[in-house]
Amino acid sequence: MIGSLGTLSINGGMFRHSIERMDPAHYLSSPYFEHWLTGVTTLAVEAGAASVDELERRAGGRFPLSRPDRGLLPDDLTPRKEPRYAVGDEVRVREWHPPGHTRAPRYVQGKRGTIVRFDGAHNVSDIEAHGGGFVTDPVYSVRFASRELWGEAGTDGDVIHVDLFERYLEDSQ
Amino acid sequence: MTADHHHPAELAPVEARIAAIESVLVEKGLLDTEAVDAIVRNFEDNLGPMNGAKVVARAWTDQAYKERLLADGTAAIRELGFEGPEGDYMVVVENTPEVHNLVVCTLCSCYPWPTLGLPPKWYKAPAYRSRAVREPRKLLAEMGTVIPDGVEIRVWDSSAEARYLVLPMRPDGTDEMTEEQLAGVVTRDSMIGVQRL
Amino acid sequence: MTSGLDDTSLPRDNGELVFEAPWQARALAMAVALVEKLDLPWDAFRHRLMTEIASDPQRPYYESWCAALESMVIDLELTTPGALDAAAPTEREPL
Repeated sequence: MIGSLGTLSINGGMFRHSIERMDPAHYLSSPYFEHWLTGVTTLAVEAGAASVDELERRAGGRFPLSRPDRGLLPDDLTPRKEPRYAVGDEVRVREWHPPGHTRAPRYVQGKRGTIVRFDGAHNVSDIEAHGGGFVTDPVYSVRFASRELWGEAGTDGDVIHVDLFERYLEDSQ
Repeated sequence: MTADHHHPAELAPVEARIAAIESVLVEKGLLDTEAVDAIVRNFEDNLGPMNGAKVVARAWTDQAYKERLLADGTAAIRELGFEGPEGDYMVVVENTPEVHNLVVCTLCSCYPWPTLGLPPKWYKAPAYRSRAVREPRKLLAEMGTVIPDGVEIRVWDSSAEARYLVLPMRPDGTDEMTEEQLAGVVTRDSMIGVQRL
Repeated sequence: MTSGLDDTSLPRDNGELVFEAPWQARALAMAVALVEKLDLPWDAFRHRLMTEIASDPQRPYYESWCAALESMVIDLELTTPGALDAAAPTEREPL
């Protein structure tokens, strides 16, 4: 089974994450090699290279695996360098609340803003951890009106700029 | 200051954990104590707001430099010898009579190390990080800086690669000062944007 | 918590301490040294720091930093929780 893993493309980020997904009680109470084994086996089962029944038969008992990956990846893992948006374009930040993704500040999710600056393409680090490999994406500084973010509690004329990856943005209608 | 061996100083758990990580990594050859010491010394001796102050003073006295600084902050700051981690992508934002800039990192505490050193404790606190984007005007007033109603406040949340430095307005009464004297007038807080000079 | 430490020994910056205690300086420098040694982007650490802060926003900053550093060294299989437990000192080194 371990040999067959060579045919699946598993990167370091996916492997680390498969260990991160272990049940905390299991992780803390097991020796190091068991973390490795659990991570590897979880990935094998998820890739279809082994089944839970088979594992438990061979182990002669329960074989706890890591928890399912609940990190929602954006639809598109294509690396991009060329910017889709230009300075002055109106955009909206996607509504998106997966656990573990912390690069898009929550206070701008779903809000409309204007592109004020393009900062080139950079690696989206949270994608790597959730199994997507290193993906580059254009980064923009997006300006939001205080009122857009906070409604009545906002202040006319004040603006807040947030630096965001292109995949967090969609066209604004 | 040595720990009294008859009454060993109790370590907080986090302090013990940090010491444990260091000792394990040094043992495995993944960390070199001297390299760690050198980084600490670099922060203590070389990195700090005195660097950013030189950038500001140069911008105040050299119009061409100021234009380069606003067009490409990283390159212009590097001209003065300041660069390195957390300074690889610098954006300088200029205060004017119509605009006041304020910098924050809502997600952690990103801060331009080469020009400002390490952030003050309040910059890392949840209160600053959430209020700077939600109610900057009120927050600034509480910190002693009143921004008149007609002036636009622009908040910059360093949520990706860019690190921001505020270029404060040159205060009145400084016309006769040399560049060096001007650098002495520029404070850390004015380059974060919580203070006007 | 910092009994035995004289604050005047720590470096100052515009009148405020750069580090509140020597161990914070170590924690910072270790993260920087480690990503350099492993040829990782600073983001690899920073992403963990943001996650730790998000998981417990009221926790003191350097405790989140320590948690991020620990999760990084464990996930990169550089050590184990058990080895860290065994290596943890019970008293402060004399300065």
